[in-house]
Amino acid sequence: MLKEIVVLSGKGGTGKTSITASLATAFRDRVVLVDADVDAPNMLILLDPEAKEKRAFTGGKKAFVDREICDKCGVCTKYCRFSAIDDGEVDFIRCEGCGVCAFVCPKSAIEMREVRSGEIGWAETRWGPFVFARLDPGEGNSGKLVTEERNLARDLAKRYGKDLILVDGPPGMGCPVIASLTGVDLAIAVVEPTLSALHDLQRVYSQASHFGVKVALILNKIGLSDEVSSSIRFFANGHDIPILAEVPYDEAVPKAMIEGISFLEHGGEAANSLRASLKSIEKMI
Amino acid sequence: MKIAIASGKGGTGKTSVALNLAVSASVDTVLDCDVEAPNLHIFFKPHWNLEETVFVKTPAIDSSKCDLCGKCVEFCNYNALAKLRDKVIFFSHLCHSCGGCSIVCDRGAISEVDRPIGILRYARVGDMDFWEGRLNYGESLAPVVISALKEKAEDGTIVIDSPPGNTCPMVEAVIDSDFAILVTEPTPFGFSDLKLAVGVVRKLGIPFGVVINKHGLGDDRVERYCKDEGIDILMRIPYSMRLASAYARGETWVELFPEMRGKFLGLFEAVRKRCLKR
Repeated sequence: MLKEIVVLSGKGGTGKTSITASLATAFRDRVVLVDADVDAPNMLILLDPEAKEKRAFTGGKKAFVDREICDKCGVCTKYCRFSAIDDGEVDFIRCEGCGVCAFVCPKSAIEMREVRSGEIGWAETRWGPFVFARLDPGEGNSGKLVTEERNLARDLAKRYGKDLILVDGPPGMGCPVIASLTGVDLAIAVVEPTLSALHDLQRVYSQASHFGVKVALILNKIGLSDEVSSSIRFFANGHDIPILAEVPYDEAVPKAMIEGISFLEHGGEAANSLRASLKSIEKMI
Repeated sequence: MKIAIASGKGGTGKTSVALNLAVSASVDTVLDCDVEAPNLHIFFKPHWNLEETVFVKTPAIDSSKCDLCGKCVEFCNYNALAKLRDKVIFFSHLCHSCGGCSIVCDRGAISEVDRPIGILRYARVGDMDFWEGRLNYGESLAPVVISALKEKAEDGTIVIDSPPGNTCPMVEAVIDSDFAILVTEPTPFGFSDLKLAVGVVRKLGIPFGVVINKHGLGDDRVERYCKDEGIDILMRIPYSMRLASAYARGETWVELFPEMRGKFLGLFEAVRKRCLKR
């Protein structure tokens, strides 16, 4: 049975990508890996893969005005909810591609055209097939791109006989997170012992519960604050959230990143503690 | 003067820079625009004085008037409407509130109602006005909450803590700023995300500079990149367990370590000068 796991964090920088990479190392041969942080993808840096397939992602449409026809009557400006069109000029950064302007234009001077807003592809890596995508800077529709990535990952899992899709999720709570969360079997929240991360964990937990997804924790960077670590354990206990692993603060982790490998491949205290927890993680999935 | 603190990647120290800059320079207003994961309140420990709800327009379908023609479903570019055998259903988390469905409906079956998607909260913190926005669970329209939040502050010196990343929420937070401080860390991840953030602020035409946090960790590729691109490095914050632990406990650097106050005042001066030059 194909299982899907998403690794989330709420707050960025808690070590989500480092942990996901290490889990991919541990579960190699079984896994299709997905980097769903399409806004700021980082897994590529560790894998440096050569793409097998890559194509442009057309996230949506934008309005194009035919200047010959437009008489600047201003109806489009009045109806646009995104302040994206004025005096016959479209602000592409603000345009959401809804098509209202084209519909209301009395002269039919506006056409909606598909535009590129990023790219998506996959590569063969030392941990198995890897799906990557990237939005062009300033572009939107990240949710749709994440959904396409997950579809591609399912195809690859079928094609190569893998039973696990491991998704490095985006930070935050918005559309890409929703797109990476819906319908997965387990969300692993990576949390560091800071008050900010604890606060965001509470939001991630509520969000995942809202979508009916089971949550487990990996407590990362133990040692930053014992007091906050205790608060996180207390929160997890109180909400019946299993803690899969407690990974110590270890400078081997950024060192591994600089070498372009996972910290499990690098070795060290953090690697040892994660390795010791792999059995319990496997049970959970 | 609007100063946006942005980063590309999360966890680089954006909130720390926004917080310590605001406190040391006694700015007029601080806006926590990271509405998906607001964290500044942890450090300000505010007593909230005010709370407002942020609404979006959302379609309400009167099935007694709907003849299932499907025009609204066909029009919606976000797949937020779907036609079943006997009714049209609506997926609120996909809706961008463009209002198109109610315009295209010939039968007047679609009206728009207000739907809450988040809240804004206000507190007076010392001599500063502090506003934070919060997106409700399951909602995706972060930019709407950010835009409502930004309407709360027009005058004086405003510090904006932006959401991480380089897409719509970040763009909404920084778009009309006078200056953007891009916070990064000297690691491959930090470097990669910095380049993306630089791409966005350049596209938006906002003057910017870089603050390197956790300086001493990692390597010098961020420094080399900034030098090659002619980007000013405005400040370097040392990689230190002492600073990381203070942050973890929700404490403010410039209040704990007097030497940090001078450094952040220096950062503020550097930004102010660059804004005046424009």
